[in-house]
Amino acid sequence: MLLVQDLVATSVRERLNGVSFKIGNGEVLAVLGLNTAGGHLLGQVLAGKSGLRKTGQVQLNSYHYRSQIQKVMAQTGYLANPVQLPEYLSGFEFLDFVGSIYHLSPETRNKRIGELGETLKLGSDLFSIIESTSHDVRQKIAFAVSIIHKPRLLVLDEPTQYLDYVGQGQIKKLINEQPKEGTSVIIITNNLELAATVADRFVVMAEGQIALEGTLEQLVNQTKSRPKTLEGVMSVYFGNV
Amino acid sequence: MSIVYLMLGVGLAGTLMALFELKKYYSPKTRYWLNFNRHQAFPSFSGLGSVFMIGITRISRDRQFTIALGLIVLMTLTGRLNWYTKEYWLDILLVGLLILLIVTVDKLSTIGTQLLEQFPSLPMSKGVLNLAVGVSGLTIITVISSTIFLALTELGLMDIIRLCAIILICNLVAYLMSLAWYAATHSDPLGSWRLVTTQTIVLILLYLGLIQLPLNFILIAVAGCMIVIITIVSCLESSYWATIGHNG
Repeated sequence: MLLVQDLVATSVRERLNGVSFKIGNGEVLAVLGLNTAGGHLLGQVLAGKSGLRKTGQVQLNSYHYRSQIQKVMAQTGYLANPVQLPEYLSGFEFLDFVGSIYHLSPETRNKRIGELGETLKLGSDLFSIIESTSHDVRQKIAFAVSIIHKPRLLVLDEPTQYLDYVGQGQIKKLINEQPKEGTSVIIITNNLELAATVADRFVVMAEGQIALEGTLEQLVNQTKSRPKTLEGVMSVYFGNV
Repeated sequence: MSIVYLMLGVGLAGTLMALFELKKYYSPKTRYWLNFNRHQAFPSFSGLGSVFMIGITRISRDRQFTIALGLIVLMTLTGRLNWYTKEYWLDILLVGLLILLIVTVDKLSTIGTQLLEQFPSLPMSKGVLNLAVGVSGLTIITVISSTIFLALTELGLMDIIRLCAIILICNLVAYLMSLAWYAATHSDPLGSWRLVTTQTIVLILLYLGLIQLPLNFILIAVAGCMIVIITIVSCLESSYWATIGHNG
């Protein structure tokens, strides 16, 4: 379970002003909002990025971010936005490296990489030097990196960017598998279709604060939006384009 | 005997720094050595080994490094074979190794930062990453320079091994020096005593190693240059390691 209470944080472009929410084991939460609303910064804080000025309480399965960050990090997976991978390695090598950092045995690493490569249909791209691969392959590798150690908390910042229809389907499939293993997932995205498909609850952020929170039904009731969709909720809150 | 005095000076300077550290303000909250143990415990040595291999891979697949290495070998061989430059081939080689070292450090210095910027949830501190990557760079340079020296000089394998041992010992001394320099406070007297004891052991090893070396001009020049370079580089690298508690 992830507990965030009165979180205040600052980065160059974004700010969080007293954000509080809770997410249970196996729950999928989508964080929506405009690009500078604070979602990206929230992801960085939850991933344990150092060098950010922050106050408030963040707790993952009884481990405090402030005092037990190593234990928190061991249980967290993070997909950054934009994705930048070490270009001198192949996807396989990088996944193997990250697996070893997470203390996985060579056999387990091989098995996990095989499974992920199969699901994401990486094929021979898995063994190409990352420098020579396309954006969608890099995105898939970065996604695989974030879940190779089966984290308890998975933070995904725009997981489907650069991906085509088929790629998005593969990512959705993997996200849907996470709750079955008790993993809590936070998706920070502008892809409303993805959010509506995979998330149990939604948080709409505006100017570093949580403006709306709840299930789709609750959001629709709060905003009295028509149509009763996420797009309807967002257009009521932020205004039509 | 000048090289002996030089290295004794390096070791003594480190010990002196450690002694100064004993006088620093005692803070029960800042636990550098305990942090060191904790960080080592989770990522494990297999994790460090992987980072080491990442460093080696980064360099071995780098085009600039390959070109620089090729040019250096070419320059050294030309310098050695050419009658006009025969006397200066060692200078050419040392300049070449310096260039190679700069290229290596340049390529490796950003690995830790880039990885943690993109994957902050990796359970490994910047200090650990930089140390392992730094050691990989040092290994590459040591292997290349040792191979060249073995091929082009009348030094034997044992001399090269001693030379490598001295380089590594100097690296350790530099690390300990920067530990004493950058750590403003320490957790307990044991941490400092450990530091001083290690320094003393290093100094004894250094002295024993040096006493065995044939002290000719070439060796003194080579060892002197490498010690200076590696000391500076490892001081810079290990400054992260020394401040490991802040880099979490």
